Amino acid sequence: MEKLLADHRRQLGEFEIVEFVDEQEIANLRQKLDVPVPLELHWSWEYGSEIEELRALYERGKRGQWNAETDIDWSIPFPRDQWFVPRENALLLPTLLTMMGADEETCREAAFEEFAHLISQLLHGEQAALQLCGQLTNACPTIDQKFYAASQVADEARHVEVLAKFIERKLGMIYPIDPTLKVLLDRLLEAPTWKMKTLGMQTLFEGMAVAIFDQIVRAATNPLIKDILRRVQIDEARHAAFGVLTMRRVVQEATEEEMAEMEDFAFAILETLNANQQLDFLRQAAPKYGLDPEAVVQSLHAMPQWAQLNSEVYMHTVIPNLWRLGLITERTEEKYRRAGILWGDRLESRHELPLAS
Amino acid sequence: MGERVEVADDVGEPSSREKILDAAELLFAQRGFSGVGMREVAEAVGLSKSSLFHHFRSKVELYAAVAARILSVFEERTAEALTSPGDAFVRFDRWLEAMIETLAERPSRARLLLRSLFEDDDLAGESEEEKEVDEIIHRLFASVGRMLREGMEQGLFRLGSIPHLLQSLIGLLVYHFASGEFGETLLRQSLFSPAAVRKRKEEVKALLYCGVLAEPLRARVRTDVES
Repeated sequence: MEKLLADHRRQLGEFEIVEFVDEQEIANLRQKLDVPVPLELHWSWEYGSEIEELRALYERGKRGQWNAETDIDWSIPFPRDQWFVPRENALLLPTLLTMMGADEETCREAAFEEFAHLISQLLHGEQAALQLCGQLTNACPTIDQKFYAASQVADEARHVEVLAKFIERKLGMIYPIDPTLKVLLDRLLEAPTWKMKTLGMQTLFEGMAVAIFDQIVRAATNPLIKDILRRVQIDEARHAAFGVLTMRRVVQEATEEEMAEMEDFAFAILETLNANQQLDFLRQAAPKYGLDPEAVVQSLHAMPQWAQLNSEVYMHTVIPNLWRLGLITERTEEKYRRAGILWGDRLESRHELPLAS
Repeated sequence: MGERVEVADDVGEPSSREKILDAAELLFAQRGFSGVGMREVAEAVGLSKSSLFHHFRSKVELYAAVAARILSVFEERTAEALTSPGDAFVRFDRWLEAMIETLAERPSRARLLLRSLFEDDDLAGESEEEKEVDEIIHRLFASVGRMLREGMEQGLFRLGSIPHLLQSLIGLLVYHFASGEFGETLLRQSLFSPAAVRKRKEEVKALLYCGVLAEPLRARVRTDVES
């Protein structure tokens, strides 16, 4: 099985991390704006609906459109010196700093920066989704898939718009894309087939997005960001549902070899994302608060409930969906568990495939 | 309700223009734009219709001038309340007092303002006078909105939608003084007596402090009141 970013890996205690330390390399990655993408375009002459549930999802998508400029009440402030999530257990830095006895202002400032970083990465991710859905509109074989992908293109443009406006109007600071995220997103964009693209973006990244948005919406106390992310989250749930519906058909028709290839691909992406353990962010922000990035990661790993906490964002949507699709087998399950991505015993029967919305 | 036309005491007789505006304000407040004729206004001031048209070329112009005059008073008092020293809460408090006093001074003000919301069919908003009215409203909302935003940003007020809060404030302040007999029946007293105005101030503040102030400030105000 291919291990992504092999030359960026090293052991940190018992855990293998992925990290970028060469600033020039990071800068080069960020400057790589042109990505050569193999794209096979398919015409379809079947204009009637062939896949009823996808057509229904497309209808739901049309009804669910909203306007990022006029439906959001931009008059609501997002003040830098007020808490917008609880001080502890919502974001990493303020939780750690509170435990270390830092004063409230320092914790609040750290929360603001960590949030700005998170929203910035989500914004870059939304741009990748926008690009990828454009590809899907071309590459998917049926008209229902094309319709749906096209409606998602509009959703993704709106998400880019709303997050960029929030950053510009309320945060006043943006973080560039993290190198690990850039490598992984490029992987999805470069994936050779529409099936791999759908698996990568719709199942893996949209599933992650649903979980992250859900966590922030639950924790947030600022009404503006709560409203924005709640709206985005509703769209994302539809996107993740498209991933499951489409992939369900794909796996039904897949050969054993193709199944193994998809299983490995999903694991490679999620494992690499997880192996970074937020080091891309911590290297930028932690030293400002007197924290050593590696020491932060190590102290987290030393916590008895580390795997439970670490797996939360994965266990929310991605892992259950992969499990139901049969894309986690005995071959990969143990590896997911060792990486702290899969935890506990609450996966449902893989024969049931409810809509992930 | 004891409506009376206020005249400028110190500067001698009010000008004809002011007399016309006073009479028109009362009439428009009672019956709305379409319920009042120019002849009626002329008769109320003791002018001929043609002399009235000498001052105001049309009923729309007269109506807009009446509205602008009322709104200018609100704008002036708002500026006084909001530019005086104090944090956003102190200024908000002072502004509420000023608005209630301004509405209580002349019963026609609240009625005309409330009625004017429903005059869309007759007023196209194209004349210079109507534009002036729009501009005053715009400036008024902008300065009150700034104070509210400042209060939210300083953590004094609950974070929320500023346009919605403005809507709520208009309803809370204007409707009461425009409610006429209905309100007086409900309250079983005049809306405009000094005691009733004082009571209104207390009620409005008590309600708004629960809905607008952020929790730490609300606790502080509660303690201040109790001690």
